Amino acid sequence: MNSLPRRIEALPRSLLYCAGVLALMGGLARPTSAEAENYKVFLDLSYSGNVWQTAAANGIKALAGTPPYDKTVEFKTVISGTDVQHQISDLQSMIAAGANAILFYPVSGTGLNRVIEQGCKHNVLMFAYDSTVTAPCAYNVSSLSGRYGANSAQWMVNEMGGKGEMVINHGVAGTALTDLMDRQALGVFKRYPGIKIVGDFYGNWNDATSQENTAKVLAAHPNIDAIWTVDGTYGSLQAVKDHRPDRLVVIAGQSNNGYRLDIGNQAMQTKGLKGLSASFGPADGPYAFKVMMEVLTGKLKLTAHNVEYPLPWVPYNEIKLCTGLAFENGCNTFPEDKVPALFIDTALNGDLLPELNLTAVQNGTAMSGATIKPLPAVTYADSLPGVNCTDCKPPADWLEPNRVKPIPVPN
Amino acid sequence: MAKRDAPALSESKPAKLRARAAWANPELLPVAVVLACAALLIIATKILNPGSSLTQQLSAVLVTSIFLVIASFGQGLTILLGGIDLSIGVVAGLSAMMISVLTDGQNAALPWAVPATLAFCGAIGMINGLGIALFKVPPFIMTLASGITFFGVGLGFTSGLAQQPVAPALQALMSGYWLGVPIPIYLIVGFVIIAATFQNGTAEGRQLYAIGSSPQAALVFGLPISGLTILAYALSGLCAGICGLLLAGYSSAATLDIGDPLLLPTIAAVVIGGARVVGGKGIYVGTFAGAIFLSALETIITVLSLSQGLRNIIEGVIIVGALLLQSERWGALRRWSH
Repeated sequence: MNSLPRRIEALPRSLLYCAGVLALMGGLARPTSAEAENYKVFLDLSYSGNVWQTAAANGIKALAGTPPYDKTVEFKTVISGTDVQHQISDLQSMIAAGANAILFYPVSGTGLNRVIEQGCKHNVLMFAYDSTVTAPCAYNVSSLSGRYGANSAQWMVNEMGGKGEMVINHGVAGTALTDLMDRQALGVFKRYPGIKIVGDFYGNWNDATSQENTAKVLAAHPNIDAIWTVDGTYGSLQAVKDHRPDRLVVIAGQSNNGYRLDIGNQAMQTKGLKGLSASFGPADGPYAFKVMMEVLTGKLKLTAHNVEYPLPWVPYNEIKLCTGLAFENGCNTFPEDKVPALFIDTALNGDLLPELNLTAVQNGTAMSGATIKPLPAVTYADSLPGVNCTDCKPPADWLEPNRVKPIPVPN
Repeated sequence: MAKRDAPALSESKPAKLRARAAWANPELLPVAVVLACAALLIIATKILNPGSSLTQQLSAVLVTSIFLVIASFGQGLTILLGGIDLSIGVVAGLSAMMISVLTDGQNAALPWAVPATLAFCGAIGMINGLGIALFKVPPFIMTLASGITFFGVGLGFTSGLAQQPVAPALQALMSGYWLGVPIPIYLIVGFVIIAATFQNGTAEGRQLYAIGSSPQAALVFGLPISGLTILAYALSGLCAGICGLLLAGYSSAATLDIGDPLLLPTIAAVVIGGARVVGGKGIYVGTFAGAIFLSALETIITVLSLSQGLRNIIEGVIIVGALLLQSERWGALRRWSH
């Protein structure tokens, strides 16, 4: 479905173009951020219909409708699809239409650089979320520097005792994210000769595809001990539950509520299930919106362009059920009857995004009675050449785990 | 050639010959070859993994092929007419979402929710057929446009994720066993019998061959071209709908994009099964064989941990090879079989 032509949500594209052309022809002065009392802010989504993207977009829309932004922000959403040219065209139209800030999900790390620079020249704040761009004037808000690949792999190795048969469920072939995560994870696994990778497949971040492929691997390798994933984790675990219900696995991956309920289930834990729920959260989008708005309104001055959204990290022994509609008092998982199994729990973040609850991220509407709270100090991300910068040096250990302490290689 | 491709036009043939055209068709030989290749792949997977069980291998290949087996029947009917259905993935996704929403996790709702869902999916197919048959919209434009439109409708109502759980009975259907055999295998057997009987054993099925072979001749003979075109696309929508129900049960959760990975493999299964892409030729047993072969191929590729590039090359070469064989395809084998 990602290949379907783009769909525009909030306004027809033709109107957007007309607005841009009129603004240029009429010589209308676009207010700078300092002059503006009301801000014109655009959200440019890559594609829609995907659970992750929908949750991120809903969180952003809910924040845009939360006081004081409900009165001070003129907010519009455009869906550009997965084609770089389409996204370039949409971003150009937004710049021409007088945007003060554009929050976008980039479909290319480098292909948008020219239009991003064009926006920067017009004093438009250009913020990318989750995926990153290398244009120096753009801001990236992402968990990429949280080293999910290395940390989750090390966590699994530790839980496996440094040995066993495992399966790799890659993401989408040819994407920078999959390549980076694979490099980090495989680097860790290769250090332990007792870890044998007996099968791998591209689950395309899709649960049904992941479930089918895991079922096939299980038929060929009935004794696998672990599955490493970035997404499609719930589907992979379903396959194990169907085919080998009495002997489960060590598994790392996404944060679907059904998956978190499973890994927190003590009966399943006694059958060997040890799960880690981490990976990249949709709350990155709303967090980027808050950062962008604080910069736009002059409340925050960033000293670097790469901001880190903290990598969500919930191992099986830290699952805590919520009683209400929000992540409060340290809870991180909803009961089965509150959300569908594929709801992504990392759409919420009780610490950084207290303005959002379940209803807000499901419907894209502001939480009743909420107002925008100031952000705590931001954390800057590592420079990753080709990922979030061009002429830059990464940290020496950028492929190594920095959150989990490695166990010694077993004899 | 025309007589074999258009059994409906050969009413004067003796019954014995007609039966031969339908069932003892020389096209069964390449089908056997494709099935044999699938069997070899399964055996090779077993040899590569001595610790595995051949029965489990076969079971995994069959169970995971059920979606393709069903959806590619509909695709095969449209290709038989010289058309194509690019809305299959969207319709399957809508079906999965609709059954979740209508049942809300309750088995009691299934008796009415399943027919309602399938009727909706069949209606989408019917709209495709109407556009193609009555308004002469090219099939790929019509089905692509309807796919985009109905995806938008689904997105507007659901945001891409069903908020309701899948009914437990559907989940049990896809994960349960009867007499030690996974239930989906029984479903495959039943579906293949029904589908093959329709396509090759009924007047409507044979008339589809006639239309695909030569629409002009079919017109001269007074065949209900518009009606049969609408029927073929409606059946394609229905099959995609069934596929969506089973996908929801298999995955225990429904998303709007759940059927997306199915679209291209349905076309590949039909082509590998020996159908002519311009229509008029191909039997459902061939499509079934193509689906099983693709599932077995995917299994061995996964088990061998081949790089994605190599996987794509293998799958592409097989599809192109099947197309190249279309011209002189199996010619020698056919002559040999005669």
